[in-house]
Amino acid sequence: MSDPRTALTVAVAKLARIASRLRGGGSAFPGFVARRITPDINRRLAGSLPYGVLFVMGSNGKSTTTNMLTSVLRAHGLRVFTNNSGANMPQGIASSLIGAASLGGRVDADIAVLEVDEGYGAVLARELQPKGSLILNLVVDQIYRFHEPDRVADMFRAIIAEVGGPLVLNADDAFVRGFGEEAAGRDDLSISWFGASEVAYAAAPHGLVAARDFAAEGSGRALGSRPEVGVEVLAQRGAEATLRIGADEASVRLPSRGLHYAVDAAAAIELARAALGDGFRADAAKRGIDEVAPVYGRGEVIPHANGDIEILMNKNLASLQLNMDFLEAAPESVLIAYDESSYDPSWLYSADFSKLERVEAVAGPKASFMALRLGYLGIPVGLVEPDIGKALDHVLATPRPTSGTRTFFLDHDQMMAARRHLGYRDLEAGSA
Amino acid sequence: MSLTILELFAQHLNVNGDTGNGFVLRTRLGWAGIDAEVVTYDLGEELPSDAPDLVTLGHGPVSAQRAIATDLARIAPTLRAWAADGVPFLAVNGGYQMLGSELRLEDGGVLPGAGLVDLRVELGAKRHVGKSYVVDSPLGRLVGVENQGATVHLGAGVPPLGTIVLGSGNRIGRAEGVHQGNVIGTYLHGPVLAVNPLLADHLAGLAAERAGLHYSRTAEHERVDLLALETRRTLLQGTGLGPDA
Repeated sequence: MSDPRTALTVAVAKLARIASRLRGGGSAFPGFVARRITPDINRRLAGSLPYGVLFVMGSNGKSTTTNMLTSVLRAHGLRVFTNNSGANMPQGIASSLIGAASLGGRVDADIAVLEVDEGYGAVLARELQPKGSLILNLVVDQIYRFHEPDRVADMFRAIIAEVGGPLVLNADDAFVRGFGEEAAGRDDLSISWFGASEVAYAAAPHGLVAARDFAAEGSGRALGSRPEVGVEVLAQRGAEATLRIGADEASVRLPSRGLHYAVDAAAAIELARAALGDGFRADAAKRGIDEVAPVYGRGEVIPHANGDIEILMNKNLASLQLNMDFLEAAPESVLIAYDESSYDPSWLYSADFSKLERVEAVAGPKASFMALRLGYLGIPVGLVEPDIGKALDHVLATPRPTSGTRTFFLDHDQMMAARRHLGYRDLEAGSA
Repeated sequence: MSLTILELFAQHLNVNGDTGNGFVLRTRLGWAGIDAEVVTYDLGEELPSDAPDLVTLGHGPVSAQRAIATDLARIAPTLRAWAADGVPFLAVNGGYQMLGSELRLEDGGVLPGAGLVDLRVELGAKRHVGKSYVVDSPLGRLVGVENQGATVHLGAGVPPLGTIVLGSGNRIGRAEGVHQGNVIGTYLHGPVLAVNPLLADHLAGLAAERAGLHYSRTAEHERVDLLALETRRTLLQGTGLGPDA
């Protein structure tokens, strides 16, 4: 149904996008304009989707899981709208929806899968009224922003208070498991679970590096027995995983190596199962996961004449540790870069770097922190260079590694800078 | 002989790479030719029967402080005896807040502290997160990051670790931290010793001396301390301050 106010707002915001692009402005600007004119624009646009909106949340793995869920739903024949990774706050989501909307104010899709930042999730839940949600994990993350994991837990609790319908949770994450137990009495929620078997966890050197829920532990409020899990990782090896999907078993190809990717896949499939009901098919889910390409910087391999470049993106201890733990051998021609947005890289001292034999260069404004950490470990560092471009040139001029692949550990900002330096201009386009 | 570095509540007070402090001490002692090992104490365990040579406490969330409070009170008499004997302690942020008589929480609840020094702490001040936390101490200038929301009341005559050049610190005057006897508490967050070798050397030197050993710097110390100097310079960028007072 055409709604003149929505249509007008979309038209103005699309003009704002054109003006903003001409001036080189930010991609969240059209969303900012639209929300000023029509504060509930997100709800109006989402309301045009027949199957509504699904939320993907958690400290780590949101972008990958969003991609996986999108692919699984497409494999079921649905037209899926999804936000670009990074556009996970209200204005960014409005911008994404406007980008996909017709001038009549309708988003041309059956369903939307949105990656949602935990800091804005409650607001977005009120705006978008998701038809289903999932929470992947809660790890110690950005403590300069969040201060304590317990505050992040309260953000998730506030989001859960705003959502109804299927809520898909990680049975093996202390905080997330607690959320499910706290919400167990609500009859407007239908909680279901994903997880990984003990065998799969036992093969992971540091597990999934989840935060501990000291409040629950200290109160003696012991968690109940592990709930029945709908989709479970039975085993994972490199980028292959065996999943139990309800009563079926399936082997899937993950976009990159590691138990964390396998658990992301289990989460995506469980929410698809919950959202599609009788329309869900395990074979389509398998196909959907198999077809997922690495998201932009999460295990993505960029071809290069003098040795391919694998980019492993890290934003906190858990992501760095997991990306290192599932390397198949000592990585060659390593570049590690940290930006100002890492703010307080103290957590580097909790990380196990034993997989590294040598680092070719550390880069970024916080390069000295990484150099100091590696210096204490006696891991040789070829070059300490704050400028990522110079560091890249240095690393790429070293002999082609015997494995044929160089490994770059980058945070988000340094990944963007590195891609620009390598000549990738279309930074919003997704995986190469 | 080997020195022992005891990390208290290593599971609960390690939200920000804090175990790096024990690791840095062990590594620097090792470079000086002194064997050292890091042992951990966790909730409900028994303390080692022999006094350690150094004790560290890291930072944890309020939920962790609550979780350990009763157990800390249980082991506090032994910790006080060690401190009275001159065993060096380093406590960071959340651990620092538990060194005194009490920790008053935002909800009005009160947790007992270890009673190692005369101070009390009130949580609930507006949290200050600063990426350039600068303190001038009798040992020299110390640099780090700050992330805390509490007021620390030092008892009469209890010396702070230093004076704030940039940051919030104890929020009473310009005091930062505490330094009484060989007990040091500080808001220099996370692995303060990696970034500030002079504080690390002070503690390592004390521990060695108490054991009748001589701690001296080597080329390895020099190599890594150049990287630490660069890190302090990075932290000081934009402040107009230098790494030395």
